[in-house]
Amino acid sequence: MDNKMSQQSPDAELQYIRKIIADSRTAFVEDGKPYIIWGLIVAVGMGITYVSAYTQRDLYTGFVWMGLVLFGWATIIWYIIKKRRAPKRATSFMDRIQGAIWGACGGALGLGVLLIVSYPHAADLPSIHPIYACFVSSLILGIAYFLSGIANDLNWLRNIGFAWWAGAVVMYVWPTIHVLGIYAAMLLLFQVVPGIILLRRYRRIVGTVQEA
Amino acid sequence: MADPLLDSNFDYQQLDDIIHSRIRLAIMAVLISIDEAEFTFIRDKVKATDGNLSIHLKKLEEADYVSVAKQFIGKKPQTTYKLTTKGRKAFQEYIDRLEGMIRR
Repeated sequence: MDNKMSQQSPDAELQYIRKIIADSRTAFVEDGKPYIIWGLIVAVGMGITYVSAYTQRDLYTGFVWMGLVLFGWATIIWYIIKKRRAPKRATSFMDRIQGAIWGACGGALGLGVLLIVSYPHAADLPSIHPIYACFVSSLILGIAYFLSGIANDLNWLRNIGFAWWAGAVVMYVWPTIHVLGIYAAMLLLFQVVPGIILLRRYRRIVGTVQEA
Repeated sequence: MADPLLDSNFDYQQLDDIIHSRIRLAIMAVLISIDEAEFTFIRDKVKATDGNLSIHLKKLEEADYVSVAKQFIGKKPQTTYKLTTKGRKAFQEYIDRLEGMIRR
């Protein structure tokens, strides 16, 4: 076995090394499921809020949000438990960075939501008006996607960050009730769709590794 | 035309002997891309038998290229390996030398 290597050209050796490194990194491919779960939940909530505000009809948005957020957290907790139970046989720095990016950005968004729901006169504050909240969360999601794209070495995912920032600019210069609808559409386009692409990529890579 | 995979002018004696083995090179390549890995993870990536892998890991450990940590997860023993600073440097030098040979 040892002698085999000495007969190979430097080119072939480098190719072999690259192949091994690429194969090892497949253990840390994102499956995109949290993107899809949260994207759908918030898009539905925001869509209902938009329709309610636009048509001036009470669609019980408070209860809808409460139900959606509880369902979202229950699903995410189930997903995390399932993932942690699966034997984790290797750790990587990029994996930790990825967790830190979404932990920090998700934490900031979660903290915002917590402050809003815990303050009785929240609706009166301009700083947490739904339109402003959409603007701020677009900025935060832009950061998360930009960094996540770099961590995963995926340019298209990094560019999604620019799309979120562009959306934030639109919300800033055009602060109307339609911002809620725009935000819901952005969640579907720039959160759910990337999640589906990541999931398909994950299945393809895992499938390829299992076949090999 | 010469086979690109077989180059008789390739002087492999210039390369680090410890790394210049198919299995050990594969182990180093696996570990360079991640923080640390369990024995079974390396075995699956390198596609070696337990015994063969143990021998090569031991050689890398003796050269101080990899460090080993043994612990129990519940009642199950777990052995994890990671590259040492010396190992990382040696692997980088190995790659540099290979690339130098290609440029020549």
